[in-house]
Amino acid sequence: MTVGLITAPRSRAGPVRYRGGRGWWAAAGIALLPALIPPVSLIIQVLGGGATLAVPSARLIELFANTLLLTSAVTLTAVAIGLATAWVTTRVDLPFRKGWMTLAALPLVVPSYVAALSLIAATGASGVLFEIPTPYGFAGAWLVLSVFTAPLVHLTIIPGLRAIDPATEEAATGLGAGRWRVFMTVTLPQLKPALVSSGLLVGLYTVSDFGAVSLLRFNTFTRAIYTLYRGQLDRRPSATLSLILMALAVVILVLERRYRSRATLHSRRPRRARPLLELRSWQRGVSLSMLATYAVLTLGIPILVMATAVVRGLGVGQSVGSLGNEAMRSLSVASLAAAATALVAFPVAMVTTRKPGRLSGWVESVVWGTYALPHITVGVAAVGIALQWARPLYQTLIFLVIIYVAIFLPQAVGSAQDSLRRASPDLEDASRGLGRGPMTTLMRITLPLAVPGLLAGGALVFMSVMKELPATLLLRPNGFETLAIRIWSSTAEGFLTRASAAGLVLLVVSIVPLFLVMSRELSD
Amino acid sequence: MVALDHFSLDVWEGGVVTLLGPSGCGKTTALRVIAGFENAQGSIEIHGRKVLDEGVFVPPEKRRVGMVFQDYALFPHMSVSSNVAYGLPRGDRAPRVAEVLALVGLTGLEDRMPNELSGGQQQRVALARALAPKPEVILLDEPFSNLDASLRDRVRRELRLILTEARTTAVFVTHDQEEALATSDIVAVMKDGQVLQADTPANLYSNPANPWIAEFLGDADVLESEARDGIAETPVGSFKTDIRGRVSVIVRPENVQISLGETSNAVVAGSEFFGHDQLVTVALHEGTRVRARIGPRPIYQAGQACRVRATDARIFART
Repeated sequence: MTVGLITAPRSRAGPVRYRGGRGWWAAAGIALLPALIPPVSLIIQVLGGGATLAVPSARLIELFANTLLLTSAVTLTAVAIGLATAWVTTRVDLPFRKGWMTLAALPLVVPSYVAALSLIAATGASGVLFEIPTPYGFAGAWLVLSVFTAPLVHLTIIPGLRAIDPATEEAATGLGAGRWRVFMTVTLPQLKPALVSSGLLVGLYTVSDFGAVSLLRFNTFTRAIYTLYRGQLDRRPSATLSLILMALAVVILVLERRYRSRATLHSRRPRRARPLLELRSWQRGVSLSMLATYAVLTLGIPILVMATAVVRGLGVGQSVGSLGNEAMRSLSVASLAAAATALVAFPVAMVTTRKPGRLSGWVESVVWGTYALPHITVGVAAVGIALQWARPLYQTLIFLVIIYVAIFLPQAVGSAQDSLRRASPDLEDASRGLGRGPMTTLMRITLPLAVPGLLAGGALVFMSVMKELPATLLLRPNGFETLAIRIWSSTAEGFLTRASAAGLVLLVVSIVPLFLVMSRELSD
Repeated sequence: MVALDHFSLDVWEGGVVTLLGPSGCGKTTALRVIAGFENAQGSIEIHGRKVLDEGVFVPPEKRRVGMVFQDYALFPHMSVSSNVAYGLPRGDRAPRVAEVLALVGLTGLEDRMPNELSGGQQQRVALARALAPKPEVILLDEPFSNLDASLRDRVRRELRLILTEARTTAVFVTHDQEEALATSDIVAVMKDGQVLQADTPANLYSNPANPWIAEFLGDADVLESEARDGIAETPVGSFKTDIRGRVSVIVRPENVQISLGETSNAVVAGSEFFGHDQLVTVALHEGTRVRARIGPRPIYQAGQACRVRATDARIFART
């Protein structure tokens, strides 16, 4: 063998011909097209209609005030609840500690409109639990969103708490600090990045939420967008509000990503296990009853209230409607969207993990950017683009699925990237070195290794599509009633029996898989 | 990725060459270019066949080059025998798989999955997989670096025997000098993307092309001197040289002798005892320190006056 005067290009920019890659970039580009629909469409709609502000400024100020008030109130409350559940279930020696830890994460599967439905069915003149006036407006929205977004905090704080070196707390104790002082001066400051990050996640969820604020009638951006969209032929006002809301969400997302990177920079060196705190019996009692109250509030009451509403309604001759059809529609559209998203996520994950560089960083930003977009704004944008350029697509199942792909792509890409990162690119080089071409390498090495990640991503997308409300509401074909639509519209119209029956079905369908995922993720 | 700068190398069929250099010198890049995983300007010919040249780029799967990766890169979803059979043509692969597994001593482990193997076993599967298609050249990237020190020497000797038996041209990459000297027919010392010197281990050790190589390959001490009339005078002796002017005199510890009872030119500064030999550090009266590798006896005390003499040295012009 003779190697003569080799000069390898100094930078990575030189063509590495054997990898090809043009196909991957093309596929990834196509996969990203749906993600570009919302911002582009909104900008065109807003700017194309002339420079005047389509919404009166007094109205805008009210919406801003309401949205910010609700977001800050929910964020503070949810962080307090989530910090408490996370700390107690990671640090205190409780019976069934791991079970409580999973249980406190579960309310994440309850969609906000189901939570709102439970509150509405529980209260009011014919309330199942309390015959008090239903707390419509700020109070109701605040209560529902705080309680049901706390799991986002719980799940972010747990790794944060586990990352704290026990020695730092022991050192403080050794210097004479009491338990409370250790918590305030050593534990809490180290948790700050995780706390801020989780707070921003809750904030993002709250500004984007449509289900709870629309059913509980609190005027935030999302509710106003829908009202304007329904009530006016001119789509410009709803598009303007959507653009503003989208910008707000992007700001929160950018802040969150900045904080998250700081949160994970904690030292990762392995260290000995931390002994659990042994509390006095009354303290344990308080901890346990706090967790129990939370579980009853988020899971027990909704299920009990909805079940009672169904039984009562059936007793007075009301019908639950054609639940089977709606469940079938939800399942089939969710399966379709899950499969499509997983398929499209693969090339995106390939270029972002296998071809690092500026372009793939850009691809990654677009993917994560779509995550920030409130679904109602995506819906408004998609309707706009369909009516303007793709009339035949408007209110078709295909278009609905395309938009689901745009919305949920990050979930599928994330888990596909996980599995590809675990498989070293050396494996593909090894296959090529053993005489196999790019196609064989893809089919026999890369794809088999990526399949678990693609399946997991598909499952996440499936669960999310089952629950999705605002985009479905705007884009579904006429008469295409899914479980989510049924729950929302029946609640809004006061048919609580029908709504509750559908709500129970939705909870059962989504809680079982999530329980499995959660108990695996939360094990140390 | 570290750049290569006019890197060139010749390997005869069946030869074992090692690219040796500090990390970041471009040795792994060189392997990846030979395998075809990276592109480059220049030319590569394997057994008379051009695989890289102006306008020529043979993709890796057509180069007939086997590669053993540093972390082995075994396909985690395939059994040992599937891994080994992967590069074989369709048809009856079983006999060749059995043959190669026997060669590396893994008969009986055919159905294990990679994660059920020890590090040494994984390494041998990687080797068997690379050898199975009978490549013309086999490339090994730091093949021993993930093995325990105790296992490393044994595996190294076995590997050398296997390669001799398979009669394959082999190119190793390592940063471990001892490993390079012990395994190779030819060692190519690399720095900053270039081959500085390529020679047999013995020649390389005794005739390094420059002081950097001398110090990189084993222990060496440097004395400064002025060469006049073909002689470089140092406190440890006079050496013949063709160079004139300022020179560096490089002395290896095994060429340094210590004696007592004569006029002293040094004092013992300390010693490290290894059992089969010892390394004694002496401080010359004019200031420099020199090491001597001597037998386990006698034991010198720190502070003892002694006479130090070098029997051999390499001389380089100082720039």
